[in-house]
Amino acid sequence: MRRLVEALVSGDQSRSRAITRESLSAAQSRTDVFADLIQPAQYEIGELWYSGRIGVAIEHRATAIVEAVVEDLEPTPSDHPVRPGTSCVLAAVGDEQHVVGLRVLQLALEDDGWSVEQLGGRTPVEELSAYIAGRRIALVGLSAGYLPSIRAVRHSVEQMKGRRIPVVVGGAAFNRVPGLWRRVGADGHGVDARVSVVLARRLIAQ
Amino acid sequence: MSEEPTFTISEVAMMVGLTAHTIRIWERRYGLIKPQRSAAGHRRYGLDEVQLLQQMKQLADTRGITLKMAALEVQGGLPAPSRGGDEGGASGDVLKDDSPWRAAADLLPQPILLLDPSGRIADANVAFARAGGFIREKLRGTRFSELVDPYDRSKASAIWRDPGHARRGWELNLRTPMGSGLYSFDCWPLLSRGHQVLVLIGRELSRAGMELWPAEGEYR
Repeated sequence: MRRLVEALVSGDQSRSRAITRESLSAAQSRTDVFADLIQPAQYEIGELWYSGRIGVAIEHRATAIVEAVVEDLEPTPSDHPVRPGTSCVLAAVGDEQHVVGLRVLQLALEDDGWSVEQLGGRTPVEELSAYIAGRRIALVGLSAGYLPSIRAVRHSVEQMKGRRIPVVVGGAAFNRVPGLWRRVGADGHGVDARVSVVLARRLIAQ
Repeated sequence: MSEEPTFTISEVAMMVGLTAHTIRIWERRYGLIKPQRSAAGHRRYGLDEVQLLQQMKQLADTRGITLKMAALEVQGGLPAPSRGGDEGGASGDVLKDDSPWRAAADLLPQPILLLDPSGRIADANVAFARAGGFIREKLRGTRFSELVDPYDRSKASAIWRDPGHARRGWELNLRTPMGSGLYSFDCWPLLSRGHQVLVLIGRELSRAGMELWPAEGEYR
């Protein structure tokens, strides 16, 4: 993980790609690489920014490289996927614009056989609700990187609950505050992509 | 959906990337988690326990600390470990931080600021940067009054107009990238290398419009 952080901070995309490919070759699971390498590295980059050791430009450059290496990893489909057509919608609501985690979760769920639609960042709460209406959606995943977006998440969860659709939440805001997922009324908190995949299966089985 | 999901040990093993055997050992050895038992006596883990295991594994993997230390930190028994082994390499420069004051202040959960006699920020700890959503290095040299709600600025300036006196419970509304919030500061004058500095130790009292903001000490 330290090697990846160093490559990301120095803006070395080819080295970052080589490190993640090497990790995939060893783990044989894209979701494991997300959970054990990429997310911890991203978390560390965030810590460096928080503590003022890198500026926002370096942090954004690192995020752009993470986005590229995530797309570069070959799919590793599950041997026991969910039933075909099991669908999920992912979004970051309100002012939330951090969507790397959502993309990672999308790829992990797709490896697990899910049909995933990602609405991206800054999705208005009402738009999400309107999008869900009339579709057969088994699960909704919402991400929040900053605490100010929590209110929009709570509003969205209320709307999804009204439609009896389970909601998984994730992102740095929830990872930093234990139990916050309960306060927004979510059905579960995926602390990383691997946890989220198992949790998603459990929620649709309930 | 009314009940929180619980998981078998094999599901938890998949979630955190450990074997069931390792989870049982960690459970016994570090006392980190205490799963419930099903009617048949099988372990059932909640999401909080999954998160504790995941955090412990991640700390041990990424920071190179012992499992015992990782368990203590996850349980809140230790401050965040220093980042050892960061010297050299591409990120060595940005990771390097040799200020003893900062290292000590970063261990504390309270927001702490150092102001110079002109009311400019000389330094801040991580807790202040996090609470406000600041980049710490950019705070240096900033007038503290620029972070204060205009209504409270004259009150704020009184802090360093008479820096020789300690003050307790100096309440100020701050405007930060994370929203506005009411803070209570204890202010202590200190002499550092012959220069007067003012130490502000804060406590967040409220955060306007953010009723879901975590309580003091809850934010990791």
